[in-house]
Amino acid sequence: MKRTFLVYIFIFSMSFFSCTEKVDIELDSTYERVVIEGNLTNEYKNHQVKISRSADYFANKPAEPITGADVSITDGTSNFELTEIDPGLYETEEMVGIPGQTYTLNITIDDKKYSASDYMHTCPPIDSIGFKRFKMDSNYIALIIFAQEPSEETNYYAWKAYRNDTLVTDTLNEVFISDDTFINGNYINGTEVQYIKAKKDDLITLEMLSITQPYYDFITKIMLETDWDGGPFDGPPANFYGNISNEALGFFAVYSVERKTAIISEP
Amino acid sequence: MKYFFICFTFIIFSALDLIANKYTISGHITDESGEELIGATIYVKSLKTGSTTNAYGFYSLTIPENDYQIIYSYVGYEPQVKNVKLNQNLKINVVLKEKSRTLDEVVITASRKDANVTKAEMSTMKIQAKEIKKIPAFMGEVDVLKAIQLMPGVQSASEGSSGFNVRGGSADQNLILLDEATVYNASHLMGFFSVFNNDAIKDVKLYKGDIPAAYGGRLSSLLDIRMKDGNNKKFKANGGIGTVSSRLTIESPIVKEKGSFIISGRRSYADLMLMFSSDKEVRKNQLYFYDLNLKGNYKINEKDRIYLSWYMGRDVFDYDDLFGFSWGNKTFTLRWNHLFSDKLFSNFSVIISDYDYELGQSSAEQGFKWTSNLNDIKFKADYTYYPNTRNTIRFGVSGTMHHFNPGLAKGVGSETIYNELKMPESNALEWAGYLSDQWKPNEKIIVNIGLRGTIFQNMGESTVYHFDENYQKTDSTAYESGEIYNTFWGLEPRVNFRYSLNNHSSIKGSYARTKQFIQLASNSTAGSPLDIWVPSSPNINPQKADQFALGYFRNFFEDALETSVEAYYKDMDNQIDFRDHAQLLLNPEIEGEFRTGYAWSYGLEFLIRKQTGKFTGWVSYTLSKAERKIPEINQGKVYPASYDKPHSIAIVASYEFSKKLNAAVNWVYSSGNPVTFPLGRYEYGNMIVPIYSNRNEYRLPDYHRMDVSVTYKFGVDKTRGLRSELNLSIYNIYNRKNTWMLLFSQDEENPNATIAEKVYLFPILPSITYNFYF
Repeated sequence: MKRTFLVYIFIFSMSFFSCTEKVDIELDSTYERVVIEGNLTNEYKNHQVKISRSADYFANKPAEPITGADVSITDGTSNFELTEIDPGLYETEEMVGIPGQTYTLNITIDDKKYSASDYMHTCPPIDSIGFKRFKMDSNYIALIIFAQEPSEETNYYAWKAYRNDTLVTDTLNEVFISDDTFINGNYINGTEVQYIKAKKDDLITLEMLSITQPYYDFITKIMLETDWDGGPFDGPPANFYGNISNEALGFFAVYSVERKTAIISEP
Repeated sequence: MKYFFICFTFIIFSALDLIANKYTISGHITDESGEELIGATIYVKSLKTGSTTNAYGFYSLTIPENDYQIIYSYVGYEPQVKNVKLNQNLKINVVLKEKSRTLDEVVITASRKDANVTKAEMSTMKIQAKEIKKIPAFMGEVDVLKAIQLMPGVQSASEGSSGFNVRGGSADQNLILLDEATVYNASHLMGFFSVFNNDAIKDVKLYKGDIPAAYGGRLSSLLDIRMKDGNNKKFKANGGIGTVSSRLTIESPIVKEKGSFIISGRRSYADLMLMFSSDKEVRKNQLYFYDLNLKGNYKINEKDRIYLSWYMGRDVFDYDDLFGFSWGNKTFTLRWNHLFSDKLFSNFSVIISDYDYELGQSSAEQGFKWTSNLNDIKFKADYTYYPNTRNTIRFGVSGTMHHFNPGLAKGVGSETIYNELKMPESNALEWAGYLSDQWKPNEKIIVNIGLRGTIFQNMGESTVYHFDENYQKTDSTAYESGEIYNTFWGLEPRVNFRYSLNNHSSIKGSYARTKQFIQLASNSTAGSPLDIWVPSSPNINPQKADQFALGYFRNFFEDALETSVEAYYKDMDNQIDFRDHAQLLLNPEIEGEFRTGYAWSYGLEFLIRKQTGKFTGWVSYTLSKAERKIPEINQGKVYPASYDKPHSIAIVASYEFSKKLNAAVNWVYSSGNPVTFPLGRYEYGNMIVPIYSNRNEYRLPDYHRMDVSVTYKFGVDKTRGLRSELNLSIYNIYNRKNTWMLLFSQDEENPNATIAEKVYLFPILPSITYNFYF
């Protein structure tokens, strides 16, 4: 997979003579933006949308939420209103997203309108999962997957992991993503898709998300500007948008989910 | 059209020759070991005119029948005076002796002392391998490309890098030739060292703008590196053991005074370098590079000589047993000098260049291998005609076939699940023809006027993608092997003049148009060995530049001190950049990532240089600006080029205390590189994501550093047997932590906070080298 190479090259490039030292720098400011983070899946539950403001680079406090916004999701026929349960956090009633449908998020804040659409792909079922000791660090195990990859279209996937019913991969940089370039139509026979700290007798759940290309590109760009940044081979940094109109940052992602659970039997 | 022009010139100048009986004096000038001297001077006192030797040490002078005193010289060598009674064509070969080492004569440089005032060429700097040796070396490795970066108008792309920028041009706009073969990646080890083993090199000349009509293919500079030919009188060996690598060179005659060869090898030791790393993981790696240079020459008879040059080098990196990466160049040149007559010199060459890289993950079941390579084969014929002392006419043709194999990645191993990913291969044909004349109407003026014509064609077998105005792929066309599917052509005029104000000063001016048909798809400041060369095509237009330069050259103290100030302006079109977040690795649709537009640069270069005496060196200062305007980059607004550095200073000095002891120091200063800073932030997926300024709106802190070196020689008075020297070099002697990059990231300890860190490369680094000579 291309990403693994980038990781190796990153290690290679940074490991030589370079040293790092913290510095104090004064930076200028920029105008404020609206930031939207929304998800809709094929699970029967409350789906959430978070709305916040951008800040100065060294603001060093949590993002300020935007309250009192008008938030709704539509599938073209029905309209689902979201209610604000916490400042900046808006929730639907219990509902389910249907694969094959396109959903649109509509938000109004102080007379400015923002909207975003995404399409829900189906997700192939996971036949089973397995475990392997991770070569580079033995505290970690690699989760391997057995599934049939559909060949009809170009698919994009993301993987998250739970350990003893707690989500381990809760920040975006821990979510592993891939396109199907190298595996399209093949049977995935034990490819490593997640790495977490775990030990014997842990109950592990692998969650696979079937995402759209725009969301895959968006996650890639975030990674390029955060964790993957810092190698001498990087291109110049740049701002990017998700799928939301009117210059809002963030993404409204729609995807279906499949899970498989297993217990680690060997140490 | 070209033939008409040649005939026309012949007629005009034949007419002038009818006035008096003229005869030709010609021959070769060499040093005592048989090395041909490039740019040596032949001066006829009474006529106040003369000539210089070409790249093969050959000269030709056609003057009226008379008695003459002719002075043959090359600074650093004892001049020779020959009294010549010219009443027929004469062949005079001259061997010049190095000046005996007294306390007064020290540095050996290439040309007549006032050459900078008298020659028409400008925007060039010549440096001999012996001079390069005196400059304090990074990690003890004497390096051609590091020496080039100390010249005015030349900047290092980033600390430690072999990449260089000339007058606001990008690093892939420099044509680097090793005995006429193109070297595509002149870096070892991410650019910390170049691929040129200084022991194998005779001469290096950098043309910063005023590129002769005989050369083309890159916009910003020509770095012409010539290998040593080898001692044709007796066997010699020399070498050295250093902190990073060791070298050995052997030279010997094949047939005494008729032919010789030289073999030079160099290899680095991985362990010593990795010892500097405090990281345990790093010590498991294997990292080394090697170079092998071989050259042979043979003088068949007075009219014919053949030369064979061969180079091969490689970098190897292995991370434990998991991951391997290697890359390297190979070049081969076969040349035949033929003298059609005393006045018509010709050279015919066959040249092959190859660059490739390979990386792989060598798991037995699920492995992966990725290869890429580029090779050229070129045929070239060059002629120089010396009809009289007022004209030197050069003309020639060349044809190159390029083969591009940008990338092939496939799974290897018994259970591979990876499909094959291949970027389309392609070929290109590059044809060129040129004609130029150096005309000296009188003592005060020299004019060079030349025209180069080039044709560039894309040829199959290949697949070309078509893109719509949003750079999305629409469809593709496949072409068969040998099918020519696109042609670009252009004319490149090259003109320069020199006007002498008096014996010590002159004004020079030049104009050159250059075109470039292949470019490096590189997106990072420190170029990576994974970058690929991409040819112009139906999707990418050829790059074009027009450069104007004007300079004033003045010598003081009887030519002991040279000074010059040169101003340049360069206008470039079809300059490439890439869309934000471009995917350049293994992307068959890579042409869709290109964005093209305008770039321009201008500047003022000051140089003071002393080449003779105990104390030698130079001071250079460049004031410059380089900007670009490309639709879709920085919202179409003007932005500084990533190598725009307003101020750049280099001070290089060397002092010979005695025959045994020499010390040198250099100090460099430059403005920091332009950089894009984050100004704001937002949260997504529990991560802090930066919001950036305009591209290159800010600048890193200024860079400066001082290096010193001391060399002590043993056995200086011996003329045979083992002689040696010990060199101690200290890089970055005041240990300044120059910012290489600034990193902005989330604070690991406090997830709500962001921090800035500076990455710096080399602290103070001492090194020792032991060199020996037989």
